[in-house]
Amino acid sequence: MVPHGNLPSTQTYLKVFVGLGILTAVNVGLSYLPVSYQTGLGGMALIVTIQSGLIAHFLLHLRGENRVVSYAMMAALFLTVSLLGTLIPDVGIFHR
Amino acid sequence: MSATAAPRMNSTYTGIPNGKLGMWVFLASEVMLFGALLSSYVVLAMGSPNFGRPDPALLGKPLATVNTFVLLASSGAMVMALSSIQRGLVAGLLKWLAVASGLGLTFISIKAFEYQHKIEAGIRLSDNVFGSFYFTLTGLHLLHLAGGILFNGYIAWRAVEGRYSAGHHERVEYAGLYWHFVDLIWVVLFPLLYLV
Repeated sequence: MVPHGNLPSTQTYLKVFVGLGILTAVNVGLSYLPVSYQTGLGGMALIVTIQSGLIAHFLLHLRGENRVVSYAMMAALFLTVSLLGTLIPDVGIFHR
Repeated sequence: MSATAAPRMNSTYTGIPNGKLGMWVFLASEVMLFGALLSSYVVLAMGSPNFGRPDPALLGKPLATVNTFVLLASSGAMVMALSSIQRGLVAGLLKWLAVASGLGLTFISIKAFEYQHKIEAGIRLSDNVFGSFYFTLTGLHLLHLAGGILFNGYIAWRAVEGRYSAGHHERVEYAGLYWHFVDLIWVVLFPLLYLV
């Protein structure tokens, strides 16, 4: 268990939730802008990455967690990104 | 066990309690499960001519946005639940677990309403690629949320029995980890399915 002394304060949690709410609102606002699918996906990916980082860092307490846990999650994330990386080149085959 | 019982932590090779390590390994497997589905979704959304993404007006973006805030609020309630038991407040734990679960049920109710609306609008599981992914991804997420509510119920039952105290509340933390993870999954699903 993460030692209680290492847990963020209530004020920090409040800031995190306000941040998550604002980022959600920004993401929704961006979706109303007339941009291409690829551009929209890029902007959305950036915001989602920041939101995921906030949740992992503060709510899942990964920042003060044992490294074994971080390595396990990084391995899972690496495998997922690798899968996406190997599938992306197939995007063009639908149009060949 | 009395409410003031000492922690029952056994030392492990990794330094992480076995229950917590088990939860993290489970969450890592969930990252790969949702990751595989999301990877397939992104590739097909970008490349398949039969993807069949519906008109944005039919997706119900405002309702899904409300649902996102409901889930974020439920995560806040889980933070308060853990904070309560860390201070030895069992009544506070029970209250915040009820709030988190209530918000979870609200999310499920809104989603059920959304499903009905989508089916009426012609977005169905077997009609096109988008429909298949939409119901598979959100349905899987709903199942996880329902699991989280059951987990909270189990924690509440054990809390009523006096099993948790300021020094012994590991399972409350595991329930919190699971709940926040389900929140994280939705934070990724929401923009991908509704906004892009």
